[in-house]
Amino acid sequence: MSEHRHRTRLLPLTAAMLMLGVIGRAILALPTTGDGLAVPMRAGAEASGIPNVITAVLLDFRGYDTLLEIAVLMLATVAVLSLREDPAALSRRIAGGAGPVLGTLTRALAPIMLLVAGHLVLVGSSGPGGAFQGGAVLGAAGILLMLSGYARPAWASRRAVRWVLAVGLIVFIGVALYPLLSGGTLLQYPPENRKDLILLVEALLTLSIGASLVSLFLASASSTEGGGRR
Amino acid sequence: MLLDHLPALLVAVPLTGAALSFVAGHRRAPHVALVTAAAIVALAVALVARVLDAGPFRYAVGGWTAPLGIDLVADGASALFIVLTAIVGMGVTLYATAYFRTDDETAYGHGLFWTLWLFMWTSLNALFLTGDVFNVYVCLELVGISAVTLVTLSGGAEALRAGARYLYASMLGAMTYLLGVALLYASVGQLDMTILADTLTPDVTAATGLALMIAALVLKTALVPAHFWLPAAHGSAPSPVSAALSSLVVKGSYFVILRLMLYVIPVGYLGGTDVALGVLGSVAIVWGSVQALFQTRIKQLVAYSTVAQVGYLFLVFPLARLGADAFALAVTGVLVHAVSHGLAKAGLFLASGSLMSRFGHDRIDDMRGAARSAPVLTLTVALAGITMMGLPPSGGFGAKWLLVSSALAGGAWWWAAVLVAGGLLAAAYMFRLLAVLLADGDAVLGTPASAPRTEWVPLALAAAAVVLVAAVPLITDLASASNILIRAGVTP
Amino acid sequence: MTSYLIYVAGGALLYALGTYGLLARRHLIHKVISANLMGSGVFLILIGLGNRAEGGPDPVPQAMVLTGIVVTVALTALGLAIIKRYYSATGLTNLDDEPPAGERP
Repeated sequence: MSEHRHRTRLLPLTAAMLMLGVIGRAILALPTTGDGLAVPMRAGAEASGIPNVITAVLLDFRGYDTLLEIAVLMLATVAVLSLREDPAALSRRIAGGAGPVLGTLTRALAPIMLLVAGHLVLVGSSGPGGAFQGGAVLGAAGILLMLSGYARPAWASRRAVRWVLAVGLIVFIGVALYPLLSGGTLLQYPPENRKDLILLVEALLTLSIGASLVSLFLASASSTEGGGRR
Repeated sequence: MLLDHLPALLVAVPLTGAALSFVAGHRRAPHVALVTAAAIVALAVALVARVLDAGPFRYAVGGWTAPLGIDLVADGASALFIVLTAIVGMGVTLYATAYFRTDDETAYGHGLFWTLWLFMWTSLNALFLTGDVFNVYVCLELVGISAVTLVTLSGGAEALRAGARYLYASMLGAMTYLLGVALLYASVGQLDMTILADTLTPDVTAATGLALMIAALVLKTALVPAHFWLPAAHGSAPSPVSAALSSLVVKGSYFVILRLMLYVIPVGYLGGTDVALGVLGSVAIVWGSVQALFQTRIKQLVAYSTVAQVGYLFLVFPLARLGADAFALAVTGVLVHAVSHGLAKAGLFLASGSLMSRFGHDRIDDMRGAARSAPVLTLTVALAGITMMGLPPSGGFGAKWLLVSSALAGGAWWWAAVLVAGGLLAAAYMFRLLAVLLADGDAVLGTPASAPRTEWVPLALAAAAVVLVAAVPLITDLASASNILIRAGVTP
Repeated sequence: MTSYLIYVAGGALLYALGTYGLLARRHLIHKVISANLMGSGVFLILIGLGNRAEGGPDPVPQAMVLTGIVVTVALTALGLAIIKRYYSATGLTNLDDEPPAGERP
């Protein structure tokens, strides 16, 4: 047994050392300065009047990566939902009522988190923030509510939940295709309403990302009360 | 005007379909998928016509051309793979409407097959079109996540185990590829494939980066010895998924290797990688075939046959270094092989799925007498077999002919010997399967779980692989409209 | 001006550590964590090397890392979902032990 163990560790150890050597050699061969695409990117961002160069890269120059990245996130949500064991995982109550401390805290925190999420979306165009940050806060608020004994209210149908999860991607594709009508290419926002379109996409993406995070949590939250089944 | 936007639409349309099929719910999702599939077929045919008519073209997403933005590149090779994906995708979609029809909405991933499948189709199209090495990473992960999830769709222990192993291979590939991009970018400062091809100079960092990227892609294409995850994953997935995985998904990562090795990377830049890939391909042909010969379960046999057929795809790299004539013949030959294997393998996997649901089991030896009660399926297996052995007249024969001609034009008969041996080995495992199906037997066939009308889908795909031999001139035209041959300055 | 090397060296170490873990560890969750280590290693390398630009960091590697993080999150979520389902179907936490016989799709 121990000999078997020994042998099975030799290969991973060799692989790890080999990778370390390969990376080290490649890194040390690099000159200590290298601009990459920094100069043209900064010039491009300045020319199109976008204050934050990373935002310009994410939403304009490499906006196509971001579109596919949103697709990755929705795909992951769909994937985890397809693997859930309980069909009603998204509407199940996963915790009993919250105690007085958690209850009070949740009631105080949830609205503030909503406000922060909205703020992060709004400042995203010029500073750190945006749909992912806003969505993460929104998702955290949702998970906090679930942990405090809340569940999806009955008036929100399953169809409605699916819409919330997908609306960000659907509207993003719509906005990406919109310039084709006026002779532009995919994702070539018209300058006159670029800001409004991006804000619209970001706001709905925040909603979808928040909902995705809550769904990922609920779909894999343990379906046992008190750990009955394995 | 609309024709200019074909690359964008070929990604945006299936992506919209994926999102809408999710909203539509499990009952209406198949309709969304069928409409989307029809639209993609039309767009794919239009792309082929456009590339044949006007040659390769680029599409600057966001109006920013590379190096600032991401360029999509539509050339003969990408158009060919997209139309292959469209045809096989349509077949898989039609077959799946009967396969997944169930009143139990919790079965098969709660009816989410359609959404996952359309995401996979989107990412394959995106992969065939992208001209940016980082965008390749995002596309590859979309393919990987959808493929792994589709493998686990039945929820059985065996499928989950195969899916987990596939996922770890996927993760290792993803991280290695991204590390390669990081090193390449640090050295060259570019991500666009065409700009890279123009600016690559000998440099240890760039070469390391490219080698890591190729290694990661080889893992995702399941070239021996990195094939360990494939047989279980392709064998235990639902049959429509197996067809898509074996026929299309391995071609996705392979397509990127093709573009990197023959378009981006200068000759000799990575030392003997060309020959090494060819040798591994030869080993794969022999090893995969021998394994296929000893399988007792039908889908495992077909999956090991994929391991072998993937090997042929890698013979192009040494052959392409044997002079201009050999280069053009090898590239054309490997494109014909990719298409004929794609069609035949999809037909074979779908037919295996139908045989399994007819018999209620997957043991080859207990399928005696299938020819009498399931003639359409047996004919499908026979036609797929013809093209995989490379017997005339078939697409597989056209591919072997071109590849052998390439080897002889380059004066390297040993690669031709590998090709001939591969055909004989394929004959061995296909005849073994056919002998059982055609044998006298009193196999009691259970009630077909899927409507027999869908048994025509695999037959159509396998027949298309045979008839493909007539389309070799068309594929030759597409090959000469590929950036690989244009850049090398050779015409077939 | 070689402070970037600290980040890059850290990244390379994390990457090698992750490679070892992914290949050597048997527990399925350990493997997922190892893959995440590899990811963090690559991200550190990307950011570190991007700091070699003059006049402020190169924004392209930063954008690549942001995209990479989302992809890694997606892979991790899928991995954990599969592991949980596999555990509840077989009671196993690794792929080396055979699942109980009789279970076949």
